[in-house]
Amino acid sequence: MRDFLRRLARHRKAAVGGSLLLFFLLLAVVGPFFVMDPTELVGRPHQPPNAAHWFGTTGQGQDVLAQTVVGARETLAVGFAVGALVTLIGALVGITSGYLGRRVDDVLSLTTNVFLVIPGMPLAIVLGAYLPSGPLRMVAVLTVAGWAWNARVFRAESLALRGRDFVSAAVVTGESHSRIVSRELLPNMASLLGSSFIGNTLYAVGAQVGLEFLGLGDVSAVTWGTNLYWAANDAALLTRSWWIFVPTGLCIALVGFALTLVSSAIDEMTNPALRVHKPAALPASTAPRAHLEKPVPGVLLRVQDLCIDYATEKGASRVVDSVSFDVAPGEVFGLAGESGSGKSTIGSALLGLLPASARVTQGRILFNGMDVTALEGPALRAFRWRQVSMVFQSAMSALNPVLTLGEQFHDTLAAHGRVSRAASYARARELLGMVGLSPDLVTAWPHQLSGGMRQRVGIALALALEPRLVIMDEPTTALDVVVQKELLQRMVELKQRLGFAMLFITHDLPLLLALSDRVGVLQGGKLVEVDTSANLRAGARHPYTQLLLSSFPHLSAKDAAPPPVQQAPELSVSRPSTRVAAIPGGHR
Amino acid sequence: MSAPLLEAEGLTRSYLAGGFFSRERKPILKGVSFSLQPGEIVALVGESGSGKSTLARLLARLDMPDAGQLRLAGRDVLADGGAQASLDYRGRVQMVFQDPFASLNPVHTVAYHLERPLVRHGRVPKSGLRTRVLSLLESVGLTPAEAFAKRYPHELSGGQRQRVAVARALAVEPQVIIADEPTSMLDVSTRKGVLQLLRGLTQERGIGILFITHDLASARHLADRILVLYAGTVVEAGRADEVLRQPRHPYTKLLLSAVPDGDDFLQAALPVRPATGPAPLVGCPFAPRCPVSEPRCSTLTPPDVLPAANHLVRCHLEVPKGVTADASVSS
Repeated sequence: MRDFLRRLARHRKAAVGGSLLLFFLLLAVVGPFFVMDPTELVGRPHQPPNAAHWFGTTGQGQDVLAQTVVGARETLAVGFAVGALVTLIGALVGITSGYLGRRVDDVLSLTTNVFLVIPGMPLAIVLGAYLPSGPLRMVAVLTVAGWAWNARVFRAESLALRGRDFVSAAVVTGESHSRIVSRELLPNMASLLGSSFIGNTLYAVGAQVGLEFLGLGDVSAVTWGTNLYWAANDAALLTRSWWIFVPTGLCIALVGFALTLVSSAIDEMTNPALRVHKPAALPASTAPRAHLEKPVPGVLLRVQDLCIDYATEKGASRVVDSVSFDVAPGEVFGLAGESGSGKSTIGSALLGLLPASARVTQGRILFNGMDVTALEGPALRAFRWRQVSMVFQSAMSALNPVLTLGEQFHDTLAAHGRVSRAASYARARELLGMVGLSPDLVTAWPHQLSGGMRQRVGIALALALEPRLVIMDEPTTALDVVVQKELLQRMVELKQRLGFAMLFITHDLPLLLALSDRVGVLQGGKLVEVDTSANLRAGARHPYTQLLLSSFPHLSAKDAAPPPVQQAPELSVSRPSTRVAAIPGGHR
Repeated sequence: MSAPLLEAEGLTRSYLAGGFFSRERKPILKGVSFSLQPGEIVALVGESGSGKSTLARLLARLDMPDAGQLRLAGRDVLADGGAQASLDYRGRVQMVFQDPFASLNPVHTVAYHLERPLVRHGRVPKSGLRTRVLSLLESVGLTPAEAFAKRYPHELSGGQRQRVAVARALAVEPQVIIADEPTSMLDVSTRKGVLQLLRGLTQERGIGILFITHDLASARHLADRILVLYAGTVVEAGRADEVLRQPRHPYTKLLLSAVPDGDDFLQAALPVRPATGPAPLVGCPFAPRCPVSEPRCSTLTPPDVLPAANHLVRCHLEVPKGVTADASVSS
């Protein structure tokens, strides 16, 4: 929490918005003690700013400065009160509804939706006409009109959080519902609560000013809204008395601006995806830029002394460190490593798919003599997929859920040359057949396929333009062993038929040794060992490779755990009717 | 023979399938029975969709079965749905979740995660709370415990988080731990440590562990017994070394042949026919994919065959080789 506040203070938007807001709060609290009575008729009406009345006088002869300063008090008080109430009620209803689900959710969701359907402004006007006058009326009216949308937001958030394992874990621990909501769910919504509160205050200030301007507030009170109401009534525009409404209008705009800044700052700081990285923190690439070089025979891909840095808050962080390897045409090269070893980053760099915060700071990637890291624009687009394609880890998200398979093939093919839809579909049928799927699936949607089938489609898409290198980034990690083996056997068969090279990235070293011709082992961004699979299997030299190899338990008997010394386990499967007969020896 | 620690009998669970007005139900578990002894590790293996995680949720009482019985030390658990009975059950059966990145609440410290079960179940007086938390951390190998207690989940590696999750499960001194793929999200070099930790628990404290996994190799490494689940049915069960050395059910054989082990693993063909749609509701669920299936496989439910002591297979082809548990085939 303290860390969060410190970051908030350093954030520029937050600092500007926060100090503006603080200024208005101070003005609202202590300001009224320093100005004259805003309701008293102190001078001639319609006086422009002068020494006695710095902001001039109103159409009735009241001091505009006093009205602006005193108006801040009730306006902001009502604004923050409504902001807090709307957030509280919305969060309470939404979280209860989302967490408890079933009947409770049905009832609360229905209520929320009814309130959402009723237009807010007319509801507020009708309510305002019936309730007794005063600042509390405004609070009640705005809260009733505004809570429902918040309830929706919080319901969605708690639905998402409820499915998380830590909530299940709390249930298994024996925690009560109220404790799970208050101590497990709510703290995780702190940032949402914060930004909702600010956003709701913004809504409250705006709606309040609007209602009061229409004369639906308490016209005898001094607020920013009534200031504007009286300004309009006294024909400030007609008499060109701009000083009557400009100060109040400016204050409203500035408060709105400050609240927007703070709300967006909270969003940015709690959502890492919105955080802006400063690529300037990265050292410029030192590699000489040679776009074309004579291709080396027998080498399709040459990665030379490659370094990739990520920009982080603490400065540049090197995730790939001086990595060099070659891949020959038609070869299967495996990259093994654990999470954080940089294996996927290398895969992305080969296709120029590095995220904005990452940069190649040293070295080259030569594909057939062409420097991939120097490619840009149309040249890069032409290179991707036609020369090098990729099969992604998550087959689920690599396919577009709103397009049929045929359309996705057509998209891919049409991006690399003019092709008719009929021709694309014909090619799609051919490719689907090639990876062992029914050609009729061209008209199917991704959600109709199992995980293994989707990954086959991913492979078919990767082969659509007959690339010379296919990068496979953990394509089977999310799949069952049986599906994994089917897929790998298909891949090997296709490779022999079509002759492409493969760069296979995975953490599964035994699998890699069975599949690849050569394997490189990555540890912490460094390539610690590169050798043929046969050599690595016979005897890995680097201790890290040995550790990885020994970490996989084998099926063979020699390294299995020693048999338990306790008494022999009882019969594993018990059935009510036959247990007694089955236990002794299992024979009758 | 004393009553088993945890005993499930004919656990059945199905979910509503189809549209809003459809009353069609999709079966997930079809009468699963098993037992767990003190100090024993039983591995439950099967592919995704076989019902492994549903079974884990039933046993952790995060979900209720449609039918079947669950007994803890001989006492029927499902009969008493009261809050006290539920708390009592949770004090004796704990769960370790698959993803340690999701199972710890990011806003709470490690100490908080371990204190809650202790306080909730009144396992230690308030004064002893701190010492107990530290000793728990030490027992799962997180030292210096003082430093780890103060940390937040995001300051820990995956392996360390999973150790915290194990420590949380241990806090109430349970008799049973349900471990749902506890190592599948971890880096390979940290997996072994977590597996050894679980093994140590059974030996030192006599805790029974149901180890749910899709990895036959680590099941072989860790488990005393194995249950092979296919489409919500136990198709083979027995001593781990025996089942894996001499698999009898065609599905177990298929699983074994798919484990990436040895250099020729990709050369050997898979003993399977291409899958066609969901598993059938009549006959053997594996029949459409089985390379050796016969006509009767798709009409008759296979009997329980006991080819050896403590070994069960549900396959028609095994009938001549072993003793059927019940001569009449019930479906």
